[in-house]
Amino acid sequence: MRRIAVAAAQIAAIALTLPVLLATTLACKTRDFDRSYDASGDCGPAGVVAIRSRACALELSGVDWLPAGGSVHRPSIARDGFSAWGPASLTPPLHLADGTPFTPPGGGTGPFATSLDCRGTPTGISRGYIGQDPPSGFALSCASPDGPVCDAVLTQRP
Amino acid sequence: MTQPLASQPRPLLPPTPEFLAPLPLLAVGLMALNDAYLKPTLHGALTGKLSDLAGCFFLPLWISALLALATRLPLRRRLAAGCAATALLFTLISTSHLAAGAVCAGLEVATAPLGFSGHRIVSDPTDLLALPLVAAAWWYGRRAGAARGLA
Repeated sequence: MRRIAVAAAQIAAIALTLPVLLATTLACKTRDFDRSYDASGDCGPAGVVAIRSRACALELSGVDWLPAGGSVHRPSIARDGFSAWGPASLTPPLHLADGTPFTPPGGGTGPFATSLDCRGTPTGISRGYIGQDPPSGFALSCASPDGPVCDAVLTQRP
Repeated sequence: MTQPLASQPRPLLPPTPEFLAPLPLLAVGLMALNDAYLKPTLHGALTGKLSDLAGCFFLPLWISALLALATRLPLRRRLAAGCAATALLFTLISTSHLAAGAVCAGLEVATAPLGFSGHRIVSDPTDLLALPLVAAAWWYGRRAGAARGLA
């Protein structure tokens, strides 16, 4: 009986390790690392724009973005793998969440650096790190008398 | 005249003391806990490396245990194979996006029939900090084997 128990424990331990090993390469992809930033609605007094990572992909989301040119950009979503610490570094090809190729504003071939600019008085920065294991993100909130204007910037690196 | 060996029932499977022990199994549990709970909760540099550290320790021992079931190799050779395979694999995927992609592609093919897909490995050279744990696995495996009288 003891021999059977030992053999069963051996097989169980060895067999159950396999899904753990597989899960470590899947965790990043299947798990939703979103944080519950307030990234919906208008850019109100406590508007927040967030760069966050969803399922190992970069997701730029949040309020309407007002870039320097003045036109309002609806939230865009781009995804790619990236591996730099700190602000995200994106290496093309970039794809939209539905898989179609994503051309950053102004075109360019990258690699791109993403940054957030907050015109107004920054009221808080909550940052994690991006592109590591697991990808995280950071959020920046701001406020100004006219209402906050949050700007997500995607710039091409030299 | 005593016959101690006669009183010992022969195990059904070859012994795998290098893996079937608290420390390696704890490492497996740590990786599972880290991937399932700590990473998404804490988002830290420590959690980013914890699975690498745990994996570099238990993977050589796990491979050795697999070899014990499948071959008649002595412990020393099994451990050497496990450590070499782990060090090689880990170095490749940590330093080469191409290798990481190739491993993921291989995993896709192997695990798609089981319903696993979407493997992803982020190549990060700083993960090589975990590599010394492979040497620790060698030492631990040899020690565990010696305690059981295995070569």
